[in-house]
Order: sequence, then C-alpha cells, then structure tokens
Amino acid sequence: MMNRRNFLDTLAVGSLTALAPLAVRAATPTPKRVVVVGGGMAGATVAKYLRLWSGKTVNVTLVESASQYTSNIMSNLVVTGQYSPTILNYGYTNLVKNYSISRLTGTVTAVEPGGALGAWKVTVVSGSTTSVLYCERVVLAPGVQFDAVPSTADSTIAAPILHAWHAGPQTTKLRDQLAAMPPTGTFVMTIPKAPYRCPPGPYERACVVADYLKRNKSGAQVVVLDANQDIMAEKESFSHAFTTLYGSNLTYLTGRVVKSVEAIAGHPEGSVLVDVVVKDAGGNDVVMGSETYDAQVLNVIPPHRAGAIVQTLGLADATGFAPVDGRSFESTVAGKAGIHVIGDASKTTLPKAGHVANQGAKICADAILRAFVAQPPYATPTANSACFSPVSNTLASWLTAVYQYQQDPVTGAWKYVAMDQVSGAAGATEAKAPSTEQFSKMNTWYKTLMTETYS
Amino acid sequence: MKALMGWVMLAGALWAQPAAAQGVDDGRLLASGCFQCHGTSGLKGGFGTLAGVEKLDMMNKLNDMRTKTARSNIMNPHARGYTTYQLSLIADYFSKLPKP
Repeated sequence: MMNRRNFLDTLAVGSLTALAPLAVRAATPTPKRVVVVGGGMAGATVAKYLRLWSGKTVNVTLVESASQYTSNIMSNLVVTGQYSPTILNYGYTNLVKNYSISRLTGTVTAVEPGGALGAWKVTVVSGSTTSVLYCERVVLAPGVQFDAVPSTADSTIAAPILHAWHAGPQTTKLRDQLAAMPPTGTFVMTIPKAPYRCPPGPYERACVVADYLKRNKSGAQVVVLDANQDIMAEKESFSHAFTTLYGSNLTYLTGRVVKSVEAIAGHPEGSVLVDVVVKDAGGNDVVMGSETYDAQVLNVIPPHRAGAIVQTLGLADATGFAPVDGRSFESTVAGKAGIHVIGDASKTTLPKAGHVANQGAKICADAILRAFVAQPPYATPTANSACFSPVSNTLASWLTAVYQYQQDPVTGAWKYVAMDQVSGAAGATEAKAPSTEQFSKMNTWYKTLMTETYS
Repeated sequence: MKALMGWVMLAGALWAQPAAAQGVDDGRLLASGCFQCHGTSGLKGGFGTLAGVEKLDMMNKLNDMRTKTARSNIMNPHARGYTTYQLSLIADYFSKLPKP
C-alpha cells in the first residue's frame, strides 16, 4: 500500500510546479477522510459542508455520544414553560440520509498520529466496544464543560449546581423548580466572567424569568449577580428592560464573582457567596468585600472551558480554550497540524454562539477542502452573528455583527473584527427596540438556522 | 487603516487566483454566511430565497441597505458589515445558482 503522506507530499509539489490538472488528483487511490467529534451546531455543520462542498468525495464520520442534539438556543423559553422542550431536539437522521455521513455513537478518548494508515488515529469508545478510525483531518467540536464551584461549608467538595447552560435535563429541571417556587420567592442567577457561551443569553434568561414571575408570581424577585463589570451584549436593550419592564422585580448587580455555593443536590434552594469586585484606575480587580444571597431557586452558571477532549489532547491554552488559525480553525499548538477545533471550544474573537459556530464550521470545511487540493485557506474569511433574544413572552430584540478576519495594524495579530464598513464604527449592532415583530422573526430565524444545520 | 484594508483586499484577490483555478469559489464561502437565515445555498430559508437572484438586483438591494440606519432592520448592519467587493462576490455567487 502506498504511503498516504508521501503521496500527498508528492502531489503538493506537483501542484506547485506544474498546476496538476484535476484528473490527476481524482486518481487519488482512496478518498480523503475526516473525523468530526461532536454533533452540536459546529460539528453538524462541518460534517454537512465537507460532504456538500466536496460533492460527497470526502468521507466524513460524525462521532457523538448523544442520540440527538438539544439546542441551547431557545432553551430559555423552555425554562419559562412557554415552549415545549421538544422544540429543542434535532436528530442526525437527515444529515446521515441527505449527505451520506457515517454516524458513530461513542466518545473519543484519544487522537494520535496514525502512521502509514493516516495522519491521525481516532479512538472511539462506545459501551464496551472500542473502535479506531484513521483520517487525514480531525475536527473537534466538543462544546464547553463547566468548572466546579466549591461548597461553602467545605471548599474541597464541589457544590451541586443547576446551570441549565447546556440544554437538556437541567433545562426542564430549572423549569419545574421555577414553576414550584413560592409566590414570594427569590430566583438568583449568576453570570460568569466572559468569555462564556452566548453573550446575551444570561441577560435574556434574566428577562424572560422576570417576565414569567411578573405574570405568575407577582411577589417574587429576580437577582442577577454578574461577575462582569457591565452587561456583555445588547446593553441598551437589556438595561432598558431591567430598569423599565422589570424595574419592580429584578435587581441587576455587577462585579459579583461567585466564591462558593451552599445547596443540596435536587433541592432548588441554596445560597451563594460572592466577592464584590470593582476595577481600580489601572483596570485591576479590587475585592471590596463579600456578600451572601439566599435563593428559593438558585441558578449558577459557572465559568466554562473547552470540552474534555480538547483538554486531554493538550490543545487548550491557559484560558481553557483552543487557540486556532482563524482562517481554518486548525490548532496552532505544535505537533497538532491537521486537528481543527471549532465552535465554543475554540479561542477566537468570535462570540461563542450557535449561529456563529455554524459559520466557523463552514470556514473550517472550506479550508479543509482547499487543503485537500494543496491550496491555502481563504486569507480573509468573514463570519456573522445574527441572533434574536426574547426579553419577554412577546417581545424580542436582536444583535448582529459581521466579523472580518484582518490584521491588527498595531500588534500585527490576525483576528476577527466587527466593524461597520460604511461608518467605520466598531462592534456589534443591536435592534433599536424590542418588538413583537422581532419575536415572530426570532421563531423563523431559529427554525431556519436549525434546518440549515441539521438537514 | 485604509491602506491596510486595501492590502487585505489585495491579499484576498491574490489567494482567489489559484483557488478559482481549482474550482473553489471564494464567493461561496462569503455567501455561506447568508445560509443561516436564507437557507443552505440560498434555498428554503425563512427569510427569502437568494439562489438565482440577478446580481444587479441583489447589489441594488444591498447598496440601498447600506444607506439606511443600522439599527432599524437586521439586514442593514449585514449589508454595512461587508465591503462592496465582498458583496459583489456574494451577489455573483447567488446569481449563478439555478432558480428554484
């Protein structure tokens, strides 16, 4: 059997010197193989587009331990009981059928050099069965995992946390706790320091929970403890909602960093101990003291980091996320060429969110397909964020930005930058005001985005 | 900054040459950012089909959006977020797809 890597090297040299015609490349003895790890928004999209854009010539295996995806997008409206949890469920049947993607149920435990059989060898464990896949490229889309929060009584023990920040059983559990909360109870939620998944998401949750309580338990209160010094997304919409729509039943506090939690597993109530942190003139954190908040329903969203496989393979840096080349999402860690990290697990200047993860996956798929014909990735890709957020059961806002991959004129670093090309204004744009029309468009956006990703 | 943007665009154009020779369309990757709301390959999206739309029609619409206040409609900041060169690549890509 011909050594695949040697063959590729020969091919690359040939292409550079003589621009070998397509027919020569078509004579490659075996199809190129990609293993995609994780079937969330990013993983599903990259698997689909590697097949669609290669005319089904690249073999793609999608490895995921769950039988279906549960969407984080829209899950806040499941927490309030407005929507059924079934609207969050997307299976893999359509992807498998429409694009002939190989689907493997299991968990990836190792990715090692594959020797003569392929660039990478991927080990997948499913129950008592272990299988091995060889491939030219690996795409990791494991999403995030949550840091443990110490128990107040004993900091060596992790406190039981209900974050509901990874949709699934925790989403309906929080819904049930909220529904059962005493009419004069307090719902306390905490927001971790950025970067976290879905920048507007926690503020959206605060709003729709406050709206639910206003309509169902008029004596109840919402307390939002934000580790950040300000609202991280859609500042105008959310601060307006906090002070007007929910001025009577929501308290929003910045610079509250969770230290520990006292709670009993399965019980909704608990208390959270926070440091009160302000910034000094030099921009450094200064702890002013600590506070304890008691809750009848406690919803702690802990800080997160890239999923386990990214940590296991040494692909994350000190931030907990994986540094990548923004043109391809290929890992920039030495010795890991050919391993790509997409979605919330990657470290870029793009927001961690489903709509953006879908686009990052397409950038990755395009770069891999170019690499398979010995071409560099597209030098200046773009990504966009278009995200609707409910602020009540009838009103929604939106946040959007187009990100250009460009070189910082001062530091020389390449990164995704959001800018209005007409006015030169930097950053994302938010809707003028929440509206019912936008709430209706939000439902259309969700269905279209999920169809584009899962079928 | 202007000079840098020029460079970035030039770099994009230079990469486009060999890629186009291989049948990889730079417009496709740019246009794929529209698929989340307008459907895969501009088909069956909840916000309107883009496949097969005449290039001039699309450019006129996008240029019109660029003149409008960003916050009044979600499409305005999208049109304003790309360079006109990028918008022309996007419009060109969709115009060449068959109409449904």
